[in-house]
Amino acid sequence: MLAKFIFVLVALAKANGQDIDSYLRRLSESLENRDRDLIMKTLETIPESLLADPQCGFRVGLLLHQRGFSDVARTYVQRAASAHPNRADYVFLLGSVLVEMEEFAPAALLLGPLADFEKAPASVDALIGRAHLGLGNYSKAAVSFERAIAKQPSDPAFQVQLAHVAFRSGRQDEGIRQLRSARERIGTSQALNEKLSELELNLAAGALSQSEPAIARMVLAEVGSNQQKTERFRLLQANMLQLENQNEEAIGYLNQASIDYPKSAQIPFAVGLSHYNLGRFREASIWFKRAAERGPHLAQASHYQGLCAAKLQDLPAAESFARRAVSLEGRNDLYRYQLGWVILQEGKQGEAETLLREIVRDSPAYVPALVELGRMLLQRDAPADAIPYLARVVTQDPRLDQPHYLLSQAYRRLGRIKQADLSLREFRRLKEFERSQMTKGQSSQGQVAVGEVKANVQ
Amino acid sequence: MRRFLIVPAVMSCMALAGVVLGTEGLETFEDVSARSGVSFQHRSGGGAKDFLVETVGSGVALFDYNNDGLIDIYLVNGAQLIGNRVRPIAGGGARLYKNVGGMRFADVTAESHVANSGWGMGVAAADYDNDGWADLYVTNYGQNVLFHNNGNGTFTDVTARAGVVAGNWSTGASWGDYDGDGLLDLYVARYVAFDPAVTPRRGADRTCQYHGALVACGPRGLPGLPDILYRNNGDGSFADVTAKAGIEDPGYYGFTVLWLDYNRDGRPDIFVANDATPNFLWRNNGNGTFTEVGAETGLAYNSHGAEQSCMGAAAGDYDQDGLIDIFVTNFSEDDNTLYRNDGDGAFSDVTRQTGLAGKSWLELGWGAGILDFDNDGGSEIFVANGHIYPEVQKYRMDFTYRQSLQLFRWNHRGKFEEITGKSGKDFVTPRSARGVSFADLDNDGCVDVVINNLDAAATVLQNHCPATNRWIAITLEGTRSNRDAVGALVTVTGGGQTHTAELIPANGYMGTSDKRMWFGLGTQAKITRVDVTWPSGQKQRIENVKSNQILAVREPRGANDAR
Repeated sequence: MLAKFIFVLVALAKANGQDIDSYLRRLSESLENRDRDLIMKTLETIPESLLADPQCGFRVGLLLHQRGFSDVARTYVQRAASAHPNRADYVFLLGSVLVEMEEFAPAALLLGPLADFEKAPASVDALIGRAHLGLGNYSKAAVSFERAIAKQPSDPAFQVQLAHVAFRSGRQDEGIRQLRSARERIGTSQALNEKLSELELNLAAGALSQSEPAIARMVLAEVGSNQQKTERFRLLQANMLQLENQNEEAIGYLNQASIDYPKSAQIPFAVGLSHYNLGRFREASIWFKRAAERGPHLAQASHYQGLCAAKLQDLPAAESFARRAVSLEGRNDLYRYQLGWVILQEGKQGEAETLLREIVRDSPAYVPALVELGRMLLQRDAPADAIPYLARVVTQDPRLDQPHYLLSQAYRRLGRIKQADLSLREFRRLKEFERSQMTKGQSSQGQVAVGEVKANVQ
Repeated sequence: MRRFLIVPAVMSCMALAGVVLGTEGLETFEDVSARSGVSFQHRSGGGAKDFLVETVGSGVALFDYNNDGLIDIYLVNGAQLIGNRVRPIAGGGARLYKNVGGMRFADVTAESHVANSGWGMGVAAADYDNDGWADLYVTNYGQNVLFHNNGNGTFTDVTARAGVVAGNWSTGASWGDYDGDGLLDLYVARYVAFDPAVTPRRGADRTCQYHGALVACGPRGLPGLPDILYRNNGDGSFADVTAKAGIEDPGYYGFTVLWLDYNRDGRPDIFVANDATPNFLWRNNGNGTFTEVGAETGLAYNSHGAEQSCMGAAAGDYDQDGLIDIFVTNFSEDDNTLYRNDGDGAFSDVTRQTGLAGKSWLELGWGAGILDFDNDGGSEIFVANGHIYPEVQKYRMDFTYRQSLQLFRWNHRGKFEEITGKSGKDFVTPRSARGVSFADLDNDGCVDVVINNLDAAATVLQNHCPATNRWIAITLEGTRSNRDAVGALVTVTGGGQTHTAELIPANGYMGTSDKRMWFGLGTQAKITRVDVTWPSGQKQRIENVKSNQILAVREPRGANDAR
């Protein structure tokens, strides 16, 4: 309701021809709601004549980027930077947007010349460093971060980034050395120590999100003792144990942590996750329930309760939890997709189709929904309708095997055998590649060549 | 969906009218093992299950070895590894039980000479030499064995002469006449090139872990073995025609083999349920060669395009459209998959549409069957379950090591409904079930079940199906076709119902079921006609047939005898 109301206000403002500040205020309000539809509609209300001014476009882009909508910001920022390619602030913002969108190569290319300016702030070097890091150019990244450190030695952020480069390039000792050097450099300043610890926790969290628990373990060991008592530290430590497949240890650790944080919702959630990993879905469900009770807005807890119910073959309960997760975080594609999947399992095709179409409309690049919609249409004997969704996934990420298989089935049913065979050939190629990667990933002990097998049987 | 064969709408409606839908469930399965005389105890290595070979269990054959009209039981047994060598377990070995009537069986293993001493896996029973006596082919981890039935209650090991040793680790085997010469050929599925001396130990890598527990490794990460096709030379010997026939198996982990003519071109094709790799469908080209069309037909993968861990496989016309469909059993946290034969040479994964999705996530499926257990005219799907990792219990997972059987009933409205809980207390007893075969052991018209349970006593489940429902069993004898008539297509029509079945005795998990074909008729007593399409291509019709009987049909020797 609120969103609709704001939209009406924005429309009225458009009619009144107000200046860019008032539009930015409204855009800021839309961004609070995190509702992509509303944001797009608000943007549409800004007169093109205003947006044609690069300064206005820049401000709109900056606001969007700062609030986490870099993909939307890109159009405006790009336009401003194209109009004034010599404006360092415009170029810097475009570089930030590109780095955020993980388009590291164009970002590095764009930002490179900025570094040549003597007065370029340390943040420019750091941004270039991030772009090189994303590209895996570790030596270049290190040079950039070192330059940033030289310009602003009091900020531990750049040294933590340098440590990050070292970890990513497999130089673990150097990473640890950088973290310790940062701590020495900042001395006894409590604020800076806290900032460093916070940065270290971010670094550990990043390593965990990249499934690199070994790096996280090293980084967490460096975190200041005062930070080791925080809830965040404990959760990261537990997450690290989970990734190391030490779920029992994680449960023990979290049980201790829960004494210090008896009202925490995240701790029981993490305990639930460990039980879930261990295949104890009933027990996990109890912990997720506890998390949901302590954090009534913790949609993730409801989402996982739904997953547990599905594993335990209780689809009505799975649906109910999935609905709760969606009601808490209505824009979360994963939760909406999970709800769609459950209701499809229950045979409610019509409702599932509506939901999947909504997800695809709101997030046109969300692969699971595109694939599931294609699959559902194929199963409903509508191969021609399925093809556009599946083809979109193939264009978006041609390395995914599943859409190629579904496309081959769709084409075959339509009698387009040549295309069906082509899709199937690509599917098989990807499957073979996947299989070879899997074999490569196994320890050498895990592989047995046929030639090694002796006829030890009678 | 485009189909070649469409059941007229009127017929479908009439079929529904004649069906008695048992809403109360079957309540019919009784465990009569203890009083049956079947004292078989399966053994398979140690309790810790360090290697996969100890976990996959063995099959069972239900066949009439002495032609007395009563179906006998052959149960395959495992062995153990001592110092990386296969060694028999005292009191182990396969067992043959002679049916003496009244659901009583006598152990005749010793006098019949069929005690397979290897690490037994599967068994395929068929009369390969058309002498009128059913022979046995037993697959092993080790050399396979062909037992020729001498017709006097004894068997002779003729493996060496026949040339069907295979070697290393064979699993499912199945007989079928691929070249139409009236002689049954043999397809042998093989699994892993296994050597305990070099196989990684539990927990060695991520393929040896399950929900954090360190478990036996494989099959992923272990080298697979190619399947073998043996052609029957007709003189007691076989030729390995695998390469010549174009059976190019890259070493997928094979389990259960079904011969079926999926595209109704009169030539039997071969479906192989593969574990952790795509399933095979070898389409018979009619010139002695095959083409693998699993992916093209939709059978290699499920509807997600994912290869599953297929163990058992069953074939049957679940939706009474005259086409043979396929059901495969899979690992826990996955669905068992039902593939509907679309009639245009392709199959559709209809697991979700038919209500089977999400019904077997805690179970790990093995043997299966699509049969009419209550003779109401509709199909049920039977699934035998049991986990392979004892660790699921040790680490308090929600999967249990021993699991209940499952039964799903077709409701004639497009869905299967689970009736496990209504099928009797003996039905839901947790077991480590593996091989399952089906037969009417007491000739009462109800299909009974024999289960080979891993490391446990075998189970004989007597089916007390409703006496109000009628039935007919048809036993075929080929003359121009193979004598067992494997691959024959039979259609039973009466009271507005039409039932279709193809004779596929190797059906379930590495075993052989009763080769008599069972049809439940509901309350319809009158059978208008029985149509048989013999493997030779000859068609035969028998009209006005009484229900509640075992009807013997012999293939006419000439075209003039066809009616």
